[in-house]
Amino acid sequence: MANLLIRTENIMGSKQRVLGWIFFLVIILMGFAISLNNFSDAAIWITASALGFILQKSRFCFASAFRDLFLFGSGHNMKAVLLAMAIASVGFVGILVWILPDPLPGEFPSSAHVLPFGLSTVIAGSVFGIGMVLAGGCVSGTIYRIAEGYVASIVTMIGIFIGTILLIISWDFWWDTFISNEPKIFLPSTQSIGYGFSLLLTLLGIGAVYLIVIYVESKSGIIEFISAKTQNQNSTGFQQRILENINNVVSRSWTAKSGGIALGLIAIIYFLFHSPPGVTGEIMKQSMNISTILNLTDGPLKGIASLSGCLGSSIGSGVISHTFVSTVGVFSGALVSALLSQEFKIRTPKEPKRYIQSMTGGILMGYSASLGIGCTIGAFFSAIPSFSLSGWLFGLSLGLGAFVGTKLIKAIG
Amino acid sequence: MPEGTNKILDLRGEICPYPMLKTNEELDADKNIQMLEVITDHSPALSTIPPQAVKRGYEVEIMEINNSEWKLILTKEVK
Repeated sequence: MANLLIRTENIMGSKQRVLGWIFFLVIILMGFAISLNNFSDAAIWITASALGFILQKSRFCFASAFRDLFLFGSGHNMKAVLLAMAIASVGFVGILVWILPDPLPGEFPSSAHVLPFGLSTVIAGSVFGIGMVLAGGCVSGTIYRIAEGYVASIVTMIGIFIGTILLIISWDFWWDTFISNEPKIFLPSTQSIGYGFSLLLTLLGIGAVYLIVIYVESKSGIIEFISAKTQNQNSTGFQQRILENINNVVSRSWTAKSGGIALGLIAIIYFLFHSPPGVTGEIMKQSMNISTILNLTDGPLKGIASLSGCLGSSIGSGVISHTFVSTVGVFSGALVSALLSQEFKIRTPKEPKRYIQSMTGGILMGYSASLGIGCTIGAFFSAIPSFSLSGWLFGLSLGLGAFVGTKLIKAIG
Repeated sequence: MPEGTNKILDLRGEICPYPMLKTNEELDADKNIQMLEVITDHSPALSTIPPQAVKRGYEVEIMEINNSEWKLILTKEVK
């Protein structure tokens, strides 16, 4: 590209890299340790770490996927999200057929992310959309940015906990008025259309959105750049080539598309071992613990046992649980990734209003992620390939919220 | 040939989408900028700023000036 020149000089020390490899070994060893007790948890620990690694490497960002469409007509990240969901859908159908070959009307596999479809979905998606744009990243983005050293993301995380606790306090209202009456619509068992037709519909839907994204891009006249670091291949020997290959994967940033493909495959591995990916389960569980200690709630949330997704999986006991490995694994993998690419740096916003923005965004996300029984990953990215109609409604609402959020951040300046 | 202006924009600490928004604001406010140096420590900005600058007729050069700190040099010939 004639009008883009990237110069990179290796002026950084290698301390971060050494630390990165040490943490990598710690993750593997912890995996073995966890597997002595529970193989599924160990598998998800490793898979979640891989997810965190992929998110950081490709700077995968659900917030920007939605926001940038409105803000400057770029579909760069949204196209990667759609690619990942298409891949996951194909893998998920294979797993779903194994679990439940002939779903009766109204029946669905409890491990899939088939979530309530109704007004609560719209409210949760819209509020989450506003929150993620305000905070500059969704829940998974906040987790991997903390691993990169962003101080504002720590503030956002505190906000997410506060928001979750506020939702716990008001849960009975939402459950009685909305969620308990909302249907969980699993496409294959609806009108007995079956798996094949559900997959076809889902892929067509994803394809249609892809077309809309390309249309938006053509209207804005955006030009796409490949911004991977330039590389010189000087190495010729076997050993040098091996090192070069490792370097390409672990220390150079990936394109959003490679991230999308990897994310689609990782989602399938998650489901093979346990259930589709989610990251908010442990946040929910710890917020429940805090609420109980502070006497804000009495006992488990109403109806939670009938819900899957990130909320349903948060009732396990013990420190090392499915939710612990899912949430903390993402952080650990992202930390390894950031250190290996020497991208860890403490970054603090200069303007005080950014802290308020991060906190507000976090509170909105925490509240809505629990109301929506998941965040951009659990209730959107994992729900659509689970053939849950709620995933589409949540996604649409995320878009609506992101649109409002875009107006807000422009006004804040 | 009229003199164009040179400016430096230090956006360290800002996260998405502000590095890109503030760069655009700067470029749109003064069409006579012939060189704008943008300093950022937010890596996603490396992929969001260049398309916007090129759209406005600028050439972009990215330099890594420190650990996770980059300088984007946007240049344009001012007529």
